[in-house]
Amino acid sequence: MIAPSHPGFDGSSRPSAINTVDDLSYFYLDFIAEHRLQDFILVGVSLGAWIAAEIAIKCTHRISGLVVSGVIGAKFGGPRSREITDLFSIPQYDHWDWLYADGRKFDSAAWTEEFLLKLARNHSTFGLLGWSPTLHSRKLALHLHRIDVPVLVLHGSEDKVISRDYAWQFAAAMPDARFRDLSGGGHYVHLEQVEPFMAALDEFESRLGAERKTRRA
Amino acid sequence: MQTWYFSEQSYHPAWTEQSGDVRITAPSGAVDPATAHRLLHRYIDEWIAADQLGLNIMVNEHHATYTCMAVSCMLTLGILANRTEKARLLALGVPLLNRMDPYRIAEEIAYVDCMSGGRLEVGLVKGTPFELYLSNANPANATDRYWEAHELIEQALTERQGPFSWEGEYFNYRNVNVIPGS
Repeated sequence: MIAPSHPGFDGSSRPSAINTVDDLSYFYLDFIAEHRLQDFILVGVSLGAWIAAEIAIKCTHRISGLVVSGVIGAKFGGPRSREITDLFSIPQYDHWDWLYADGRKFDSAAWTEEFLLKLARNHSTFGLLGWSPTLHSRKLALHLHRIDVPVLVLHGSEDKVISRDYAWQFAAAMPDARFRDLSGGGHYVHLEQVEPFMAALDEFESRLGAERKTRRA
Repeated sequence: MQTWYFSEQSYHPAWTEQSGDVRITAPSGAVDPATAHRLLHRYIDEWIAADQLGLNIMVNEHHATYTCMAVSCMLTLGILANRTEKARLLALGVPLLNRMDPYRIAEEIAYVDCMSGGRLEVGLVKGTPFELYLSNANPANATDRYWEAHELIEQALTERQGPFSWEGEYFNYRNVNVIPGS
């Protein structure tokens, strides 16, 4: 498994030429080609799901399947609709209440200066990528039909960043997507409902394997 | 000694009516148009009196707030340039991050300077951080964007030999050409 930390997050530097999710998607397409990655499942959560979708609309040749959870990045409604919660209008210290459903608390007094600096830089990069239009690209919804590999869209039943209807529309815009509810989790359902989340990934992987065998036969 | 008379052109009647925030999310329904009309005229009259008393004039702008009804320094100064005679007219300042079009800022500055017979003085400021929630300018690259706008406005106000093109990181213009020049 390769779990990249995006440029500008977790204390890493960000090349000045990378300042949009579109830029990041080309960075990862280059990364995939450079490392000759082939026949792998691309998994993304929240901002990562947006990045994964931006990669997949450009090229799926090396990807066998896509899994997104808490996906953002597309706009389906009119100008006065807000489909993705504006996390920039919510104080950062309240983000936990919006990202997790279980009301977990964090003791920020215990955080080191180094960690706080990382958090601030994470938020700065997040703002650069998602400030306006707020956490979406005008074009993504138009191109989702290009994702011609099997897709699994996961949705936490208590997600306060996107609605089930939004996740459903995202799935419906792709030709081979399945939708799955995960009960009891919020936007970060992958951290709150780890076992059901992993089970859904395993099932998706098995399905891809079975379909491949069928094709060979 | 030089003295400037300054007012934020507030809509102070709403301060006591509104229990919540007076900025950004405050409803405009708390502002009575007839009262606002009377107040705005009073503020202009105060500045005209200041001019007659030998004082200079300073204006500012803010957005979506009862504390300051002036939404553009150059709108206020456009009036005062015509209705005052001697006062230096100071905009402090024009918040570049709240304007998506720096060429338009340069044009308005040049217009007011010309109208006032060269009495205009301008401070180009970034703006208050919470007003980025109105202009939608990206906070993560605000400083870089500010300096590009600043440089463009300076060049737009000093170039007198016809148009120049601008292809920057944040702004693109085929022709920058300010008439009347200042």
